[in-house]
Amino acid sequence: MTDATALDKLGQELDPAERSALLARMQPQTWQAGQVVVRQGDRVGGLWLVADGELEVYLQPDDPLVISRVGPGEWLGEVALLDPGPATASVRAATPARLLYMDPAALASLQAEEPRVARQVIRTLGRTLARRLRATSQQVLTWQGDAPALERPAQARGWLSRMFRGLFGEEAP
Amino acid sequence: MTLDEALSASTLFADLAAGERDLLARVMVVRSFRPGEVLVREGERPHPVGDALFLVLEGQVDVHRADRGALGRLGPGDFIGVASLLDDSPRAASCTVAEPARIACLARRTLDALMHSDIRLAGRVELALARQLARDLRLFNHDLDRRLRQPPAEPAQE
Repeated sequence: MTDATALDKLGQELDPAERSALLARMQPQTWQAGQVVVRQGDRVGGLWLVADGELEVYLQPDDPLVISRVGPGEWLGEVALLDPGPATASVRAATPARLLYMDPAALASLQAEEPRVARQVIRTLGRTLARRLRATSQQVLTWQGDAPALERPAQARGWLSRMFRGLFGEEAP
Repeated sequence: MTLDEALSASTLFADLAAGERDLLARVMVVRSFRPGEVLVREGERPHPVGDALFLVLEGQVDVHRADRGALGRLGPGDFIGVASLLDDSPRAASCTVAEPARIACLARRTLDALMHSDIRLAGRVELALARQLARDLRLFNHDLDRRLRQPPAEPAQE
């Protein structure tokens, strides 16, 4: 996949000049299969676009539980970027991978100088987040261990409330 | 609860300046709903033009799913459809008005129109929506991680 093709999921709304403006702010990175790109708890603030390869997002570095797989055209790092704080999950390359990295300063310059492009990036990140929330929520709902929480709403209120918003886009009462 | 009160109190739009919240309030439409009216229907994809973000000001809304029955009730200050304003996945649950309600609606087409008249405000609204989802996913992953590390809790002593 070429770098320009990796940007296709931003929609057809970006013209060639806007794509160039975005690409100019991204640095190519090469990762070997098995390498850890982000470790849960790391302070990261940038954003990665996958140009080639497959990556695994997982919890518990010592006993990895893969919660999603990310491939060409998809983004990584959106949670820490939008809600600054330690990385919520680890990411490793499952195959050799090429990523395009945008650091926070580059994103800030995009927002200042190319608001239309920045808007497309934010929209895409929003969609990515919505999809990951749904996928994770669904996984948990089908999980056997979840039944007790559903039967004990008082204890599980915070948990349920987030599951609600994750699944349905709104908060539980 | 007035629309201004609900917007100022919300985490969702906390990052907007007061003036920006005023502008947002001006393009939101407050409507009255009767019990039984359906805001969101399970399985339907958000309508590209007619879809909206709902903010409950008064009354109650029931959330239910065909396979799980009633899931809960939403009231003043609660948002419906944050994720659906940004993506087109089918709705995972239905929302039905349970008690006479006043609900503020931000139509998707209004947000799109805002893009042409005030690109920065529209961008900040979309950023606010995405940030909310990021906060949710952070908490969600954190909870999931904690639950994975702990043995299942004993049933609570009520």
